[in-house]
Amino acid sequence: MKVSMQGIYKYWKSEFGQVRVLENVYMDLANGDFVAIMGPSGTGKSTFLHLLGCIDRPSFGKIFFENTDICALSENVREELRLEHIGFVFQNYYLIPTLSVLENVMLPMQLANSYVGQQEDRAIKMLELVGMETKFNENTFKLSGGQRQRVATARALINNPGLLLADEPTGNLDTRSTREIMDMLRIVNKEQSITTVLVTHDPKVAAYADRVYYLDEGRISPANL
Amino acid sequence: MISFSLAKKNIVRKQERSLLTIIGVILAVGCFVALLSISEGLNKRLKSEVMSRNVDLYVLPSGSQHLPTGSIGAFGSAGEEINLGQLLPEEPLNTEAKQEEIAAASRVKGDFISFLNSSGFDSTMVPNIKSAIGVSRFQKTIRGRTVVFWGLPFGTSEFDGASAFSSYLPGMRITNGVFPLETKEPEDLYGFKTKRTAEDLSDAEKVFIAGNKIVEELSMSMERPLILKKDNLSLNLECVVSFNAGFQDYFCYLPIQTAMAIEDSHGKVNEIWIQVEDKSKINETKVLLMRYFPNLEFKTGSEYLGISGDLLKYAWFLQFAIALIGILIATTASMNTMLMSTFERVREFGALRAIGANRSTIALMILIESLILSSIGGAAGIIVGILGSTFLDGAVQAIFQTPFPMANITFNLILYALCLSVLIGVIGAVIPIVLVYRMEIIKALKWDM
Repeated sequence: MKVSMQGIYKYWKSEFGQVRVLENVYMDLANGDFVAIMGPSGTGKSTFLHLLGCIDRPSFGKIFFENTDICALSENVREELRLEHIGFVFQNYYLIPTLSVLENVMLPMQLANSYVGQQEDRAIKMLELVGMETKFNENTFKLSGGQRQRVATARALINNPGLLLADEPTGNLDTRSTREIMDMLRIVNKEQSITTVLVTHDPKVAAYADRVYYLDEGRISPANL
Repeated sequence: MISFSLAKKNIVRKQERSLLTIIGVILAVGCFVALLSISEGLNKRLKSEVMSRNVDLYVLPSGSQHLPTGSIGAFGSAGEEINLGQLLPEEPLNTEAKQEEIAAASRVKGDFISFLNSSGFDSTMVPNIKSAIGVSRFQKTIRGRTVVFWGLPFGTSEFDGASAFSSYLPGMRITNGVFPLETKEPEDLYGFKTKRTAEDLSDAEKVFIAGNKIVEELSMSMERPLILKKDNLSLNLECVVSFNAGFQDYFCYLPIQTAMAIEDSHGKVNEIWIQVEDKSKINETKVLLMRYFPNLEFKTGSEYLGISGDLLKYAWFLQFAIALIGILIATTASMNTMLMSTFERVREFGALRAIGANRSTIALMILIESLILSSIGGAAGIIVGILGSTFLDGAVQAIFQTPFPMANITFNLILYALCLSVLIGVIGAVIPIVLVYRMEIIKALKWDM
């Protein structure tokens, strides 16, 4: 998916007044791009991702998906957009504890009212893709951090999104799991041409991306790793 | 449906909490059903009794409480009486017109008393009246149980007693014995002329009829007289009867003069029952009677039932108010459960919203979860309520020493209970749903309890 951010500003209200989080952010992402955003804690990396993911709206500026300004869309349309075109991978996985591995992965398809007969087949394919083919019926709380993140990634990919947003996906993982997850994200990005935006403060993780940006005090600039 | 699936799984995940909520609803609904079954029972009794009688107009003492007769009489009705000898108030005759009116009314009074005396009456002053009888009612404790006695004219040998009796209480079947015929002269049937005590009663008047249920409850026998110790009187059971309206089977029936002698209420009755020739003209007849007898009240069957029904409604609301305490506790428990469950899952909801679930999907999930819990509780509560009703019925019977069952589980009551449990579920889900609708995804994802 082609994404364009144009003149994005984001302010938060705090007890000390208005806080500027993002300032005049411009970024263009082509179909299949893999971009990493780096920066210290509290510099607006997650906010940047939330704006891209239609979870939040900018104070000023426009964000285009293909040629559509997503900031001008109603909340209902943005919900549909999130469900059908955007995949999220969170640092804390956010798997549903009452559901099995397979059910967690099927969940976005069920929310999208996809054809029931396809849901399970597609979920199994996704789990095979992330190397979790032996854990279909496991409870998610029995899995390791790396395994949970694989399941979360499978869930993010199930509706075949055009944009994959990963917020510190390896933040809670050991070195080996980090490497496995990043290898997997890279493969998915290449094989499925999914535009991927990754937020991290780990340079080794950022190195997997085609381009790396540095976000500091709300301003974004290309990083030199 | 994903909402249903998620709701179901969450109930199973938090089994202890779900169970506690269900228990809360069970107690509330059980309490509701058990308590209101008494009101429902009384209501059914009243309707059954009043509607099963063939009475077109009820004449009642002015200002009486109109408590339902019979069954509720067991709890003590107002006890006002109509003095048949003084149906009209003593008023000064100021004007000629008034004199004429009073004179006319006096003639009617004479007629009225005479048709109370006889079984068939042809009145020219108050047309449309077919017949009328004075009825008295009292209660006695017999073998530890409170029994309602009805005093009615049993009829004379010229007029088949059983037919006269059953014309007002239709559907009567004699299951044992022979209906006792009245031998008293009609003029003195209501005791205007002679004040008589229990000792003055002839053997033919020391009789009674009993419904088959009361005979069974108190092990009465036709061979063994019923002794009213306080009244120094023994009554012979002459006949056992059964009615279509089952509650009448719990009463005993005496000749009116015997009832008056026992109660020392000569010339006084609790009610007068009137049958009319043409039911379509009942209102005209009522208006005419009201004009002639301003110190009495005249009610049609439905009016009589309506007034009594209003009193039962107050009883219903009183019992509902008591049950409401349990309902409020259950509703609060349900709200608390759903609220805690929501707070625990704020991050989960945030994640669901982030991956594209809309607010209504999550709201529906909460509502379904709450409804499942309250419906299970409601269904189990109805069963508990039915059991509780049996227990409560026994307790009420023991306290009031009534021989007849009080509680009644009606279809409506079960329907109300089901609606109530659904309502508890809906109310329990309201606040969590509002929270979900107001929830910001980012804050939800960062939520920390």
